[in-house]
Amino acid sequence: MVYGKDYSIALDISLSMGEKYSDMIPSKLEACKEAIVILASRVLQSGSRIAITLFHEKPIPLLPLTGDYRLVVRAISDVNFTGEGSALGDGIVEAIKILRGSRRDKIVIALTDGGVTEGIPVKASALYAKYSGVKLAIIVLSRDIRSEILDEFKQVSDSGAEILFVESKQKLISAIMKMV
Amino acid sequence: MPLIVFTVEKSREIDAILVRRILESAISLGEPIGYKASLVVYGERAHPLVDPTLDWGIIPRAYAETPILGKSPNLLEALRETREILDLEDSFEPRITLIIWSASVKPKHRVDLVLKSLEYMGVKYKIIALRPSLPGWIKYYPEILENTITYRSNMNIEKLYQRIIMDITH
Repeated sequence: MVYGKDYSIALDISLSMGEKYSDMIPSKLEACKEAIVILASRVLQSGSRIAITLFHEKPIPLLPLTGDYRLVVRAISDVNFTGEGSALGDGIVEAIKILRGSRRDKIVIALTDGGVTEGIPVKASALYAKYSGVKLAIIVLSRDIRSEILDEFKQVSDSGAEILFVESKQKLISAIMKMV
Repeated sequence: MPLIVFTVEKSREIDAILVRRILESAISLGEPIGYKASLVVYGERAHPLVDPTLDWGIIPRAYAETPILGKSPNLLEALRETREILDLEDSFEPRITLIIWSASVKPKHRVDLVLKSLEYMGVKYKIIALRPSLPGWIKYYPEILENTITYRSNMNIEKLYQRIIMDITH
């Protein structure tokens, strides 16, 4: 009998994530880090595991699946905004790959400000989630999304993924906790 | 369990309907028997679309649903993704790969090395080039040349698929 779920987080670390947004001060990235720690404190006690992948122009696997809360906190505290470009589709694909072989319920949570600029189309990554039995949620920290990106997100939600737009830190935390 | 990986192009350069017909032939014939199937798609970028599964029916459906991945096919990246999937499986079981390719642009020369590395892993593979004849530059890619079958429009797809699977599995 396997208890708990496996959560794989894809976190955008492009330069724009270093900017503040609404009450997300000093930055969107710091708000995401706080939300991930809150998620970890809630789900790791029940036997679930968390993995983290970072992405800007390429994905960077940071933390494999772990149930160790202190390790999650240590890994996330070292993260900073880094580079140009934002390859959300690549980040999601990498986050799904980490879940290969898992026999638990599998969830990918992507955190981004929606400035998708390159890489694998987000729709393609959402299809990979669908055919891998992975529940995908994309949490977008922005109000000003370009229309072509909005169209892409629309196609993504047609593939069964959930797209959540959040405008405050509390809504970000609520959106993440919705996946528990 | 034995595994077949379909490594399939979805760029602007390839006839996606024809590719889907080949994949549907594979499903309707159910060959090779007793294999799990997996799907990697590629254009300018490559990514896995279906990880190894016994549910072959989703392969052509997933291919049809996926968006076009740019203009020029990146065979090298496709083979890297394919190798990653093959690595997940038990190396004592038969592992084969069927690559469907437009042969529309010269691949990077390292492609030949990656194909060699598949051989060293014990993986058997064939390439179907969806064009009646191969371009002149193919002579610089001996591994590709040796393992590629071209497609002409008068060919019976099911027979072509059966012949290829027979070649790989025997």
